[in-house]
Amino acid sequence: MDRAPFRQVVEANLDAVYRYCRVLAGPDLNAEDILQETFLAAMRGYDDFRGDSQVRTWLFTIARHAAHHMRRKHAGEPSQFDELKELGIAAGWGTLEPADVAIFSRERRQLIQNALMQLNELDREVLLLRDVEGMSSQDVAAFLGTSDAAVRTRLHRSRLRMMALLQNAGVQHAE
Amino acid sequence: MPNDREVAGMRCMQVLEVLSDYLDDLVSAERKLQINEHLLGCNWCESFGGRFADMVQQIRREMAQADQAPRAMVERLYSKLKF
Repeated sequence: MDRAPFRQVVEANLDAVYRYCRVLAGPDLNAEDILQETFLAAMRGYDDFRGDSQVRTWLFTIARHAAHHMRRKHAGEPSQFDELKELGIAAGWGTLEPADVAIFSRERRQLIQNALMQLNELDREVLLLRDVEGMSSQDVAAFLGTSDAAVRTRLHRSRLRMMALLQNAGVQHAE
Repeated sequence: MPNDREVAGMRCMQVLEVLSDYLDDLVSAERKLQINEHLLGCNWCESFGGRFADMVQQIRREMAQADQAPRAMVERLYSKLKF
């Protein structure tokens, strides 16, 4: 099989893998540790990579295993908003007033990053894979070993959680 | 207390439930039409849906732009990989 030199693979996927490592790391792991472990493991296994999946998906799988290996306890955080309705209300559903999320752009990036870190790991993963990497719902489901419906439900609730968190941050910011 | 009323044969809660699928174009054509009708007649959902869509766009943009591996980290990685 024709394959790109490993260095080329690293360079072409570095930023995407780094983004994913940050998502996997959350507030309690170091993204750089996961990044290094991912590419070291990929380098060791590159000769055996048969190209059954896209190289980026293969790297994401390695990163995911690396992060899970590093995390001593892998328990989802208890959900702050269990019911869709509660989640909607927290996100400003049912109010006509625009949410106070008019934040200066320099601070907005930090607020979004902070809000992301308050989601649980799987919520962050689904948001990144769907909304940033642009993977289809079915591809994310296959990658995570779950159903399309579960991915769609999780994505929706993750977005609502982000909206609630950003709204709260915006209100606190204005005070 | 949020409002939950029936407009165009759909309740606001039903719209809230499928909002992401609607934005991602993952609902059937028939369902989409029904949601569009609801949004036209329900200023609550029209307002919330607009804010929700804006936020999704904002997250997409920020998440994509914010994270480029810092130069020093790349250099440490390349050193580990003996590039």
